[in-house]
Amino acid sequence: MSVHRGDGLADGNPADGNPADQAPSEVTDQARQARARYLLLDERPMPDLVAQLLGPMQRAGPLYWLLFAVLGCMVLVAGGVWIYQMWWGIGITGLNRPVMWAVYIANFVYFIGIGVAGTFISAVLRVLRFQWRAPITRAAETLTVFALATSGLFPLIHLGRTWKFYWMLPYPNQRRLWPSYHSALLWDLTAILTYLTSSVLFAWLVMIPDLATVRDRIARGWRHRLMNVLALGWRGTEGEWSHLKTATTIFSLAIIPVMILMHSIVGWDFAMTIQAGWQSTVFGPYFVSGALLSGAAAVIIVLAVARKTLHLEYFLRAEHFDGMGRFLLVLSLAWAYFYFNDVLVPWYGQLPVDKTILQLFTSGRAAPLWSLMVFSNLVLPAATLWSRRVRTSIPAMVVISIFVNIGMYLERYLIVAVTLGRNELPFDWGAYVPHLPEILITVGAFSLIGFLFLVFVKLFPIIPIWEVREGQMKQGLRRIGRDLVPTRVDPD
Amino acid sequence: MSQSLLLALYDKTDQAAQAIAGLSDIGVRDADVTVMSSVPYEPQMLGRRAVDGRLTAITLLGAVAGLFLGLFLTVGIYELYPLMQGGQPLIPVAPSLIILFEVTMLGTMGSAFLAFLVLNRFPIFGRPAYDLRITEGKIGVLADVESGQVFQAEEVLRQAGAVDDDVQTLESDRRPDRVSWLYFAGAVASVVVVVAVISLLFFYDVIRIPFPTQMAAQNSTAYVQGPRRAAPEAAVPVQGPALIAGQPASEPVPASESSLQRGRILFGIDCALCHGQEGSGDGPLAKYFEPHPPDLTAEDVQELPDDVLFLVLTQGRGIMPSLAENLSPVERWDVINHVHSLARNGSGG
Repeated sequence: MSVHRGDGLADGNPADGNPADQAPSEVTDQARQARARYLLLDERPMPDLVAQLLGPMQRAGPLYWLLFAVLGCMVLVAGGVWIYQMWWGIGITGLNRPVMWAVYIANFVYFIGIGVAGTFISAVLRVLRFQWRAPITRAAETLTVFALATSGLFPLIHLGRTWKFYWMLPYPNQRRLWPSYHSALLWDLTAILTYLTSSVLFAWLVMIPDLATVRDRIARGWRHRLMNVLALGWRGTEGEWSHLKTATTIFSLAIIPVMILMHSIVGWDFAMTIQAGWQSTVFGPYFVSGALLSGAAAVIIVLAVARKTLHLEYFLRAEHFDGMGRFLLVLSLAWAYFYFNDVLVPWYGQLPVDKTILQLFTSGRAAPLWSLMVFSNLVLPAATLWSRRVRTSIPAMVVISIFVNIGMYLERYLIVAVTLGRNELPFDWGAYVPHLPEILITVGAFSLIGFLFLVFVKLFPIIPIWEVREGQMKQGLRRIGRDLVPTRVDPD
Repeated sequence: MSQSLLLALYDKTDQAAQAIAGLSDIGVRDADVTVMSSVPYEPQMLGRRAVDGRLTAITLLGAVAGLFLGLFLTVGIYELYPLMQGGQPLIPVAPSLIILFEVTMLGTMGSAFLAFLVLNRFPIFGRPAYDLRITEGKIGVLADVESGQVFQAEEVLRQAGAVDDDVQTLESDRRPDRVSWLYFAGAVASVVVVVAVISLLFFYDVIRIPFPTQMAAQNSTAYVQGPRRAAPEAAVPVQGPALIAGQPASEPVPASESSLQRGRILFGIDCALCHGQEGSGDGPLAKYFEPHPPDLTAEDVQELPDDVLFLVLTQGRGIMPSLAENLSPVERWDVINHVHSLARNGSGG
């Protein structure tokens, strides 16, 4: 079989008949349609691709600086509130007996979940060789790094006396007080540090060829110097490409179990306790599925925003949102399956405390939040995403993704802050209301991720150029009967 | 060294492959030819041999190193500095597996990245042969040829269809500067080693810092409680002086004649049923327990610090119950004194 690049026309199987049966105009029409639909068939010269990416990177309009200022201010406010909280103590928040874990911990879980999906999308799609992943991996990996760094702040914020965080590090000393691996919190620390380190290295590793491209296209100035350092002198020799490929494969395979274990540990942070509603053996996979759901939705939002603001219409097409939409549908159903597991068994047991919590969610004070969660995480995606028209409509996908993220945030909040209000001893029941510090810090955390993205897209190419070009090299059109079908060669 | 560097650019893979084949025909060694591209071509596409798999091997080594680091963190530390927790094993298996897995994976991925840097000699110093047009999609073929072969090689490169019919002859200093790289790598490695050694000196008691915490004396004002009053002078906890290593209330009882006497009686009441009258682990009940109660005169028990023995008595360990309700802190110290005397008598007689 031979698959030509560029012209979009390939020799088909001789048994499939002669292409000359069809009118030439019909053939080019089909090829043109395929090119408009699939990025990997729509090959363009390298300088064009780079120019499309570098243009928006080097220009910044007033809207950009306005957003920069607003998000920056919100981050500063949150930082100020954090210092204020350290000064006055954790008592300025709404935390009190029995709800000692609330919004901060819910944020921690939520943002880690967002961070999980980026690597999942990038690594799993790489391992399984999904072709449409090429232009979206960078955004997903970047989201992982930023969301993870943000979530890592929350245990420190929640600590109150933040300066004591080094007590978590395993350093024996003569006080005979040092962390023990019996504690789930220490698993957390180890897992997050492992995942954050490997995510940063992974993102950098795959970006090196693109950094070299930017270095070469921008001949002077601070950008050139920055890229010169970060590209490490990449020239694109065979050895470099080969080592990059091997290292990428190793990272992709290794980071998937690390990601799954890390978010399971986050689930176990809760499941290891004797709190009713938390003590559940399904919490590991249940948390992982929820994390992937919220993270995939967050990636869709980031892609849509980047496409609009950075004019990436060439790179990010309906086919990518279609692919992510299928993904989201599967994840939504997986989440619902695990959640049903988590509800069914306590419901069957009818222990008084489990019954109380279930009632609180389904018909009690938390019912509006719970219903919105079920609607956003299951009903809305499952009712709409089966339709190709919805999946290829970017505004619809953004709306669904925003709902999914609201739903997943509510899920974290219900598990952490609302469940804790009910325990085995009714005299100790209580309700939690977030106070201003928690709200400001939470808003600040969302702003921080936006702010980091704002900085990132002006410094680094958000689309992996070399992966797109590699995909285009390996993709072609093949004639089967009267149709032209995209085909891919993958020589190994 | 009478070598010359020739660089030619090509638009198409076919042309580059033809140039490479031509160079091989005139006797240029495979290792002296370098292909540069902005897209990862498979070696076969250009008629080249695959690059060796050293990266995978180094990564495996890194994974093993990570495994050993994990074992040190989960087993080594607690063997060196036992941290007893009531009724729980010193080294918990399931949680340790989590830590082992995480640290092994960190070793795997860290070493894969490190191997990527080292095998490519990144960061590259000097002005290695390169052409900016390679990022525009051209394929660069770089040949390191003997001076006698230069004209022949130039001809081959040009005939294959070099862009603009141009073969650049580069100066011999257009090779990566490996010496600077060695200095750089050496400097980075030394900094890492020095930082690691210094922090280990601090962590493992070679350089001691008394970490004053004064937790008991802190004037804590959490929002749910009033200020905690400082304890009066010379006050002791109601259950007697408790153990906090190095702090005033933790004074062991000296092994005086009366303490040993008390210890012997208490040992006979609370310990001998399992550990035996002579402490050698052969009490009347010993055979009913699996694992058997340890021989208290053995060296590994005797070498445990006294405060660890005190914690074992206070909290229990494994299937041994806590004796905190049977023995007051002073009585526990008496028993510890007696246990030490058992070993002395044993080795003496």
